[in-house]
Amino acid sequence: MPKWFLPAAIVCGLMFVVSPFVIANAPFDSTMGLVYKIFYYHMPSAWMFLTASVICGVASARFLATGDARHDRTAWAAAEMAVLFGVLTLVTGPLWARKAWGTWWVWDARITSSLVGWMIAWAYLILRKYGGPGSEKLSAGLALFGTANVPFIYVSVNYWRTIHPATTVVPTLPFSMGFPLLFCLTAFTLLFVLLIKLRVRVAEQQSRLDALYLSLDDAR
Amino acid sequence: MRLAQAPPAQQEGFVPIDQLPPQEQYAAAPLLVGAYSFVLVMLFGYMVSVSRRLGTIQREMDRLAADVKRSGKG
Repeated sequence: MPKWFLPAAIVCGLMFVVSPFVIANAPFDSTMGLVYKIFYYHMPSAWMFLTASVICGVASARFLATGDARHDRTAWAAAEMAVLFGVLTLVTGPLWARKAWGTWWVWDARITSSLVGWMIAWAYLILRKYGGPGSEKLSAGLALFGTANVPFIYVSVNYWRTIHPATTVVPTLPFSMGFPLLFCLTAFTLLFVLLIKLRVRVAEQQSRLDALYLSLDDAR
Repeated sequence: MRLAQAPPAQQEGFVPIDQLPPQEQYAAAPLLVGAYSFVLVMLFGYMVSVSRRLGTIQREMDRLAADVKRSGKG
C-alpha cells in the first residue's frame, strides 16, 4: 500500500470520532428539529454513492475501449462502493423521512431513481460473482446505465414535483450548518478513497494469485 | 368526515434555530441514533470484510510461494 495510506486512515478515523461532537454543536432546523441532523451523514453518503456510480461507469467504459484489466478492477471496486454507500443513503433517508414527512418511503423521482441506481450496482456485483467468463464485459456495459442514471438522480428534484429537499439547500446553508456538512463530507470522501484503494488492492492481489496458479499449471 | 392531510411542501433551504420545541426532543432521537449507528456499523463491517479478503489472498500467495520453493528444492 502507498505511504500515504496509513496516515490518511488515521486522519479519517479521527474525523469520524470527532464528527458526532461537531454535529452535536450544529443548530437545529426550524422545520424538522433534531431529526434533520441525519443530513450530516445522509448527504455525504449520497454523494459517495453517486461518485462511485460515475467512477464505475467511466472505468467500465475505459475497460470496454482498451481491454485494460486495471480499469476493470477499478470498476468492480467502485460498484462495491456504490452498493455500500447506496444502502447507507437508502436507509438513513427513510429514517429521516419517517419523522420529517410522516412516512418511511415516497415513490418520488429522486428516491425512486436512487433505488434503481443502487439496484444496477447490485446487479453488477451479482453478474461478476455468478456470470462466469465474459461477465466482466457484460457488467461493464451494465455499469454505463448506472452512470447515465446519476445526472437524472441529481436534477430530478428541480424538474419534478417532489417532496425531497431541492438542490438549493446546500449552497444556501448558513456557516453554522455548512461547516459540519463540509467536515463530514471530507471524512466520507477520505474514507471513500481509502476503501476503494483497499478494494482495488484486493482485486490486484487476486489477479496475481490467479496468474501464479496459471503459470504453475503451465510449468507442469 | 376525515380530511386528507396535504403532504409538506418541498423545502428550498434550512433555517437554523437554537432551541428545540419540547415535543421534538424525544421522538426524533431514536431515529437519529439508529441512522448514525447503522452507518458506522456498515462502514466498520465493510472494512473488516475487505481486510479479511486481503488477508486470505495474502496467506494463499505465501502458501503458494512456499510450495514453489519446496518443489524447487525437491
